Amino acid sequence: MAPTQRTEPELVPAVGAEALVGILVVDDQLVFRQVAREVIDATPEFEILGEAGSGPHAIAATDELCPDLVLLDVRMPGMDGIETAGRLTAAHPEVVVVLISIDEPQYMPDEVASSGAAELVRKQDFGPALLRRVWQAHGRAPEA
Amino acid sequence: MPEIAESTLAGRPRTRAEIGLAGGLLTLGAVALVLIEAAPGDRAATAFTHALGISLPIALGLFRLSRSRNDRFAWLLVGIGLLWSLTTLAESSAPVPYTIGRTAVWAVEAALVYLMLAFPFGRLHSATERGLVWAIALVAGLLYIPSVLVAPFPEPSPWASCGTSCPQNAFDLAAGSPVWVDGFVRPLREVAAILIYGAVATVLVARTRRAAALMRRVLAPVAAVAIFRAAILLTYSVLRAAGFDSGAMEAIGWLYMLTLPLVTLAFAAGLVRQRLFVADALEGVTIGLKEHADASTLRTALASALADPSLGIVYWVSGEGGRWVDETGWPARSPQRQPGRAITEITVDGRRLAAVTHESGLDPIVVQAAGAYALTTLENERLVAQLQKSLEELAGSRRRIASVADRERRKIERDLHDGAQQRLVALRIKLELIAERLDDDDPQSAAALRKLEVDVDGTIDEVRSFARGIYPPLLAERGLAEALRAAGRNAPIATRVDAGAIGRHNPEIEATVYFACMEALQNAAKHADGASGVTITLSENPALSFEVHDDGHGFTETNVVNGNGLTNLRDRMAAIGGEVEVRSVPGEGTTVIGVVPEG
Repeated sequence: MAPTQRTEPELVPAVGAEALVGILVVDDQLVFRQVAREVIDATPEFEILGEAGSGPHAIAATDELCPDLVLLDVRMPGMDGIETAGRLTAAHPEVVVVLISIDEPQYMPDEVASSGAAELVRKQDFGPALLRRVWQAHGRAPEA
Repeated sequence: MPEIAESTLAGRPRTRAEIGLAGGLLTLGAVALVLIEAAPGDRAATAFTHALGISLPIALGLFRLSRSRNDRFAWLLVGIGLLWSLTTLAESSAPVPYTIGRTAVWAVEAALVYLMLAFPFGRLHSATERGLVWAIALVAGLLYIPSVLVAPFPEPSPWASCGTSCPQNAFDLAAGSPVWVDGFVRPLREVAAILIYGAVATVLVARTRRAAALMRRVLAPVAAVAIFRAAILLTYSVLRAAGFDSGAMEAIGWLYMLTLPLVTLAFAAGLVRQRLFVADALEGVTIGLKEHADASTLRTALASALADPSLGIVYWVSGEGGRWVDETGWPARSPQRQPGRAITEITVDGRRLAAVTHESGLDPIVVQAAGAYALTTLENERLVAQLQKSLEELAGSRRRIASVADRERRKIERDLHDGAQQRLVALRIKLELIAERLDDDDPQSAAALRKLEVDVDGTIDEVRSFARGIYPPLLAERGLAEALRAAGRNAPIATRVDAGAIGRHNPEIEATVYFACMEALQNAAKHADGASGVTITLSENPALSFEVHDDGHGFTETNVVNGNGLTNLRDRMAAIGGEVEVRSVPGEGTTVIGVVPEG
């Protein structure tokens, strides 16, 4: 089975997004970025501001796009999600950073707890309900 | 090439027993004769002397024959012991036995000269020695034995205790002693005998001085006795010619008689020294080759051990007709015999290996033994080196195989993560999205989809577990400590990981240690009765080591089952050159300890 393609996407700012929760999806896996976009598109209170395929790209995108929530994959080549979360939360403490991973939380490194991320969730649990729950727990209440 | 004496063949036991029996009977017979016939005051001492003269050479000869049936010198010793027994007849008071005994003396004297010069190999070494033997034989044959027919025996004699009252010469055909016998033959033969014995002593001293260390030790006692004997004979002859007939003459006579047993003891001492030298030589070879054994050090070791700095060695290389080479492998001339030098071929198990040129005084048996031992040591060193090289290559091959296996495992896990797992997760998410859309319009379909989600969740969990079992992602990304802590959190038994601040290591080492610890942890969870927890400790002092200890009941050798798990653990560690040990004490739990070599 061939691995899925990892690509660096273009930064695409959405139009008319001030009332919605803007999300930046960061994952080196194209497959997940595509399905995450579908989920976000299907969740009216949220909008996708952009995608990034690596930690450095995520930092640059956050600086530029000012998302409300960053969905950040733990396992990325080079700067992994934990390190990226630390830098993002240091530079942008107002941004809610949520770490996502295929692996289960009990198999995550100890640094997750001190990374500054608001929460660690499983990728397979990702969906509209999870988005709402996370935002309700850690962010502003979404506008209906 | 000279042939080596077959030193390893033993004499036939029956022949030796027969000779021993004969020697014993002759000794008893001689003692009995002396006790009955000898002069009253001298019987004990005379009996003792004759007993020694017969039994000592025979005993020493038989001992040497027990080690080598073809030992020429041993046969000479036996012969002279048997011959000596005839001289005991000189103690008889009857004329015929007395005459036989006195006549036999000169056969013994000639044989003794041969024996001293032929020591220790049983062969004469030079024309001078052969000349001396001929000389004593001629003196005995032309001047002594014929005079038995025409004159009485001189009195007194060290060979008979009758002093000046001895029996008649039974073979004397002339009445009285002719003038020419007393005036010419007797003085001539006594002077000749003294000169010959003096020459024998001189030759032995010269040979001793010329010899290498071994032969000096061996010949020295015999040379000393030869000098003593010559001096005693001279003194006795002079005193007898001067007409002395006193206690001093008698004492000197006894000393002369005792020189044959003394010569035998000197032979024995020399032979003991020879064996000690062989032991020293072999020890010297062992020490010389201990540090570094190769062809170039072999010659030095042998020359030093045998105390022959001029020792040379060439090696036989078989194949294509065979040829001689030197220690550097260059072609060499076949060994050439030179004056004062000897050549000994070294064979091991019947194979010719080398030839050693050495001092002619060195015992070829010693050279063969030392050379064969040295070459066998060399061969063993070469074989050990080959074995070590094979083992290193094998260890390297195992490490490479382990490394390739780990790389493949990491690749499979990565491929699973990047491929199947991502797709399964995406499928799961999409199913939920569709189910949410259908919740209002078609709740049945939504419910069906959610059932499918459960199946997909199960598949994701299985693939995730499978991938983690192949190679835990945390191990590759964060190293041993993090991976073990994560595994410990999820272990079926309470697990604490104490990893200190260990750093990263080669991927195959980390993988091996990780899986070894996991194997030990699983064993503890399954088999450690009464265990409440497991502690995994990692350290670098400086080699990477781990301990997995459970506080269970422990086990003894008799109740442990060496299952595949333990075998796998040992095999994994061995593949990277590491070692693992399992220690368990009943009541104190079990500890699995592993160490990985540095590098």
